[in-house]
Amino acid sequence: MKYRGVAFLLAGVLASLALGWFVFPMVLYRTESQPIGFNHAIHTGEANGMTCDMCHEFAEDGRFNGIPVTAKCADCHSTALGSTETEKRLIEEFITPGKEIPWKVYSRQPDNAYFSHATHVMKGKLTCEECHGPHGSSSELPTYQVNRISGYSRDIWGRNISGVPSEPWEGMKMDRCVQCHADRNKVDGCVACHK
Amino acid sequence: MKLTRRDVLRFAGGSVLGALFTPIPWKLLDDSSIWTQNWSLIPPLPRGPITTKFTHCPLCSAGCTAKARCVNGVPVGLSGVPNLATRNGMLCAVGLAAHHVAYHPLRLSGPQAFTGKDDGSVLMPVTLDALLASLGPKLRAVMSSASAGAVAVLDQRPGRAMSRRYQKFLSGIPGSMYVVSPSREDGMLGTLRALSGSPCGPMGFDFENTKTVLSVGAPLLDGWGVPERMQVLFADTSASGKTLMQIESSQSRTARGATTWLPVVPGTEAALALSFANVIFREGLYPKEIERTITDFPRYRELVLRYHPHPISALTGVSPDTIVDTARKIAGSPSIVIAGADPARGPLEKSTEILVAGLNLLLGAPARSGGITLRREMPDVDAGAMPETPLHRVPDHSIGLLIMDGAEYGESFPTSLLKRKMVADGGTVVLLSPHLSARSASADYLIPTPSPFESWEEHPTPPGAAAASFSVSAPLLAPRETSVDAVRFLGLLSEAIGTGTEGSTSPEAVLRQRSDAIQSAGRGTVYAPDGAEGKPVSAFSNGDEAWQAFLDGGCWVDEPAAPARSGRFSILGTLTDDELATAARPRQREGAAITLTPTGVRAAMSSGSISPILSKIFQESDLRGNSGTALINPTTASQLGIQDGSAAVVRSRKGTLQVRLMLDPAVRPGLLQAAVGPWPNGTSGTETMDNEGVLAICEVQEDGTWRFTDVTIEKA
Repeated sequence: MKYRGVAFLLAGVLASLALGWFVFPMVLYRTESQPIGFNHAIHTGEANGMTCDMCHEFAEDGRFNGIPVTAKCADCHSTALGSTETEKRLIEEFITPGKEIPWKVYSRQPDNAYFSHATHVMKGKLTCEECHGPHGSSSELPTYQVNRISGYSRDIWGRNISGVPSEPWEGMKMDRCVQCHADRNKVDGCVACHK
Repeated sequence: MKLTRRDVLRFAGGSVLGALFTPIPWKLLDDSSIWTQNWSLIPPLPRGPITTKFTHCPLCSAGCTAKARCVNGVPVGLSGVPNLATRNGMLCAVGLAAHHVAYHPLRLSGPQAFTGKDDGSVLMPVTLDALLASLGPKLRAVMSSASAGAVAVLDQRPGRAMSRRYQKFLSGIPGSMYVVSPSREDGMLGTLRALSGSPCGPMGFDFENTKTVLSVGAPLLDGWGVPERMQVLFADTSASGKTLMQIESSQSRTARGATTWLPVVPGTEAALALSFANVIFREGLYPKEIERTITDFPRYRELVLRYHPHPISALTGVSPDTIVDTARKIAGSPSIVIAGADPARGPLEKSTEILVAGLNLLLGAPARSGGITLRREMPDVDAGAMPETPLHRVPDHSIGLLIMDGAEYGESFPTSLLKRKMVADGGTVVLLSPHLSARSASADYLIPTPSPFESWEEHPTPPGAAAASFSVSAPLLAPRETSVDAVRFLGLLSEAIGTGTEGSTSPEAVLRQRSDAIQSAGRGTVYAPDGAEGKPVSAFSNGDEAWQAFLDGGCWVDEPAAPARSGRFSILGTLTDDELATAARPRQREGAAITLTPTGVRAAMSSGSISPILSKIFQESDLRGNSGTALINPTTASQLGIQDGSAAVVRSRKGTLQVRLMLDPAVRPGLLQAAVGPWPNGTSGTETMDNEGVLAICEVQEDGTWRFTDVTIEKA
């Protein structure tokens, strides 16, 4: 057979491509469930009209408090606001016993990366959506996938395994920080983020 | 179709080729590198609210004001607070990493004791009860027998409320001694007090109002006193309008920063001081009233007139014109002459110190603005302090049991000096320290005290200050369970020997008592660390308010003492004619021997608790000397056939030391400057606690000083 050799070579290439682009991501990432469901849209939509910083608030001294504590939820949810199973679990498992919800954070960065929300939001005037996309209008939490090797969320690399973002807000790797700073003519040295 | 070996290889080759166009190799590379950042051996960063607390650096006697950045209450960064009214907010490199010390690899995990006194004895962990059961009878034995020596406490940071606790403890023990470090920076003021004909209170240097400072070897611009105060006044003398003249054999950092550097032959400083006095006498530049206040004026004048600048120039290496000009400068304006103890080199010889201190008396400096001020006594709760005896002035073989306080002053001294002061069989030494140090090998018992920032620390008046001051460092970290603070240890020891005079109290209560005493005295001002104007102590309505001000990082500064007439002094003290003749004679070197002198920076030597990160920078940067390095003049090196960076063996009568020699034209020909520290501090497997480096081969002279030692150098 004239092209037998080429055929086996191509078969190998195709097998690798299939493995690399389809099987490898499934092996690399492990899916973990969030401790409880959450509907951002119902909070931020027209019914309630809340803004991001009403829960993900900045303290008076400018510090960003990140994920809200259960006591913050209890400001409104001290008693059940509806009859859904999720609401019932929120009250019984977390608010009533005063237990914090062990959220899995999509944007958790390594310890060696210093990031100040106060600087970026208050001083740099970035909107939440520029980094977090339409997270605030999602009706359910996205699947949390953790990288089996690095231990970080898939959202840090981006949903696309190629690393090429399909949306402008996808990915939270250093190259994105560097690009964003360069676009705004804010060129910093290493120690600006790696203290 | 039959599958051949060649087909498999082609498929494999294609797979490898294809893999390059998939994320597999690139993503695995990226993820693997991130994985290495999360190994369990890497300590996780604390998470939590970020807060700022004002405190004071506890590493040395300067007690500089510091701002601690804390995450979840744990200090993760320190920074200085410059431009405070108290001029004590500029942190040195060692102080910037003071919060690392609690995690020092050489920290003691519990009480330990040596199994014996012979070379084969080893350090073994013991319980505190077992240690006290062993130590108690030894203490009782020393107390009950005059031939067993005296009980002594070596307090390396005197003047604290804790120092008073030690003195109170010793006051119940007949014949006991309260011993202080030999290298106190303001030791010359102690010499001046000793020359006074009547009891004399504490003194300080009025640098702010002086015009000229003549320093005999004092490292004024290299960590001396309160570093910010000295830098502001003397780092830029053209701005401050002051003159700093440095007399030193080599061009030290202070000599480089001084207005004038007078390079002097090592050991001839006393002759130079007498020659300055000669010019002042011959030209009548001294204030005439001192003829009445100096009790031995005629004897001093007769002595001084023998030291004409011309012969002394040949002796000291300083030109006659320079001697005359210098003498005229110090006599022509408010001046201070400082005989400087060096943190590594130790004190000057007794006679040199007296003769240099005597220049101040000749210039009428005591109790004069811009001279030596009389300081008010610190308000205190316990009266009747014991006299302080510097270690090198303690009679040889007189201490039977020594308790060494771990509050290290940041200076060092040879272990051989300590051994000389102990009774013939070595006696018993108890060391209170948070970590192993070069001093640990001298001890029989090691008590693990809390580390800096784990303990309540007090910062009394720093060396040379013109007014008394006080501040505290409250703990920022919880102490280890096995730690035993000095207050508790004294209490337990008192119980063990049945005196029980200490009672149950805490370090905080001890400091609170001093705070209350200051508040009751109602004088002075407390300066907040945020730069706000000071609040008079009289404005505090009760002790709680004053204590809170100290907990918030405040620093109390006393009012200046009321103007007083200088008392009567003996300018030559107890010096005999023989001692005077010896003092003004240059030291004789043996044959072609080189003169070895140790060098070091306060708080960064072998016995200091310095962050391992900084000791690594010391090791690798060569910005300063570190243990194992020595500086030598290129001419001397050339005569010895030694190249820059080459290894050499330095040999003295006390032993040998291997060093790396570095050529430095700032070092005087014939001199070898070897750094005392810092050590790698546990980051190197070669470190042992009995490695005291260059101090191990320094010869301790009859008067307890160790500034110069004759050595030979051979290529390694």
